[in-house]
Amino acid sequence: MEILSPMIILALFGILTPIIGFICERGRVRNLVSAWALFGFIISFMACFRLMNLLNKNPVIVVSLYPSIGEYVAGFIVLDWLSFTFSIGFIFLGLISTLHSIDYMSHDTGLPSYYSLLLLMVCGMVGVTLAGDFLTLYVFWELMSISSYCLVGFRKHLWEPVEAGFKYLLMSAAGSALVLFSMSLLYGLTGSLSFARIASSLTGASPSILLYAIFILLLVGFGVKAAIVPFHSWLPDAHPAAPSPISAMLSGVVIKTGVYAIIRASYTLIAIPTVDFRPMLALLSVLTMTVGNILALVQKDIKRLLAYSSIAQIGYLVLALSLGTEFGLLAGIVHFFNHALMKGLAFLCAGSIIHVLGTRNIDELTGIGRRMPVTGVSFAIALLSLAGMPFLNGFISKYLIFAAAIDAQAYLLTFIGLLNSAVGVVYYVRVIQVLFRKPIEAVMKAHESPPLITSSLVILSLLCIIFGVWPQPLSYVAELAAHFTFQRLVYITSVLRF
Amino acid sequence: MPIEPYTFIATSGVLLAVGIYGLMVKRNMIKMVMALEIMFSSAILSLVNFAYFRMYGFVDPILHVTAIIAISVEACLIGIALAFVINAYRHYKTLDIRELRRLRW
Repeated sequence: MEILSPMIILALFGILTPIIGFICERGRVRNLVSAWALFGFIISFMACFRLMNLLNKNPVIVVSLYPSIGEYVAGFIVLDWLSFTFSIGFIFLGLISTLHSIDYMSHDTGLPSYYSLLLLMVCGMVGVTLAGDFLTLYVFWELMSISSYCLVGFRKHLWEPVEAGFKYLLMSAAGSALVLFSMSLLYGLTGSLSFARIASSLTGASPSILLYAIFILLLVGFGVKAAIVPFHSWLPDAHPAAPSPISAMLSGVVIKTGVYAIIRASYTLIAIPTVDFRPMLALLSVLTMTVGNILALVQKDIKRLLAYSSIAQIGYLVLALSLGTEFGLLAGIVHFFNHALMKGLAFLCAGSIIHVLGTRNIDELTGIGRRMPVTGVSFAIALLSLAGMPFLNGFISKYLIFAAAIDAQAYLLTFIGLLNSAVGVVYYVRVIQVLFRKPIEAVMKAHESPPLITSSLVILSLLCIIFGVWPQPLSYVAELAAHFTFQRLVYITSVLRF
Repeated sequence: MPIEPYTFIATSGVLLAVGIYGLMVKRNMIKMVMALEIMFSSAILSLVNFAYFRMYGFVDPILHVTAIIAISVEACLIGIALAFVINAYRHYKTLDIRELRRLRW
């Protein structure tokens, strides 16, 4: 039960939040509900952190709500280093977003439902990473997706969130229908829904058109969530339309659940000799990076620029996965964590500016960095980190990705990736220039955001710097995660109890 | 006359194609939501089909559980989608998706 505790705490707090919110509204203490949600995230984060002790003893742990004598069939939870790494990232960014939301959302109505949806979305994401079979994965996937649709369309009195939310819902739901379909086909092939059983049945299977078709269906289904390029068009609309803490969540971690599912599908379920996923993922990664970077160059809206930059960063992540080596997987996991930190920071800084100025147009932000020093400096740290400046965490993960690509002798991919990196620097530096120019008239009146917003920014920027100069703790966890994901036999034997 | 499993597999494949076609071609928001529902139906039909035909004389209850859960999840999804449609209608006074193109690039 200890393994389930982070998820159960999040679900419990999520369900109880409307009741607490009702009591708070009656007692005229509206902000108490935010403190309640923050409290939930803190407890859940601590519970999740404690799981590391369990994992040190045993790399793959299986828990079922229905103890079975034989094999686990469906409805069970598997905790390994990969799921631990992802879930702790999800809960941490949720915590920071909640801290940011307390002041950012203070003028909005419907706060109890906002925090309830946020908690349930993180609960769904943690559930996705812990799922041991397709049934559990699907249920938590939809919990996460449905909460995120509602959060994107949260300010429904404006036209933008409604339009963006509808687009997001249609594309993402079509993706999950494809996942459901490929899940049934996998059952038809192997006779089970559990990842371990499917993986063991497909070990040593010869390549066939059907297996390729199933893999492509899974890739499309999860790729819509991960915003891989032919299926990305919802992202640049949905992320700017959501409230800023939610944009940080969506760009920082929600799209990573898609990446997590792709890692599971390609490294655990269907391994390389059966389906060679490397050329497919490499092609998609090149497309994703290039389109993301080029479209980010022409953006005038700060949040839209960051959204396109997310697409580009997903491209680097998929590049790392497409190598099919343990080193590549390690680089991808490190980049997942670093990108969650820096993109979360960038969106929260944009939120802090929007909270004060009320505009998202880059030209109207001229000089805001001088009027809001904490926000400006944090924004600069986030953008430089995204651009890959040394001594910040973005550099570490980009370095690892390109080192892994050279190690796997994918020289063309490395070259394209480096070229894209250089294009990325252009628009990041342009934003920093605008931020620290001489302030224009409209900006002169601006002053620094409330302390809770700035404290969330300071925490994240400190982490960006700390992991930039001292990446060892991160790489230690990522190394274990990559190792045990790559050795899929450990996963299979532990779950099937050979 | 016994029904072959291939009939169901083919039907679910055709339904999936119909759903994707509807999602891409239709311009009415309600019709797009219906296309989405057809896609889910095809997946659920495929699940139930494999539950019955995978092994002779044995119907897998796990897949039936999955199908029922999928149906209920889909109902939630359609509810949210229709809520979006209502809100979009309030803002734009039309259900034509072509009018909802203020977001571009």
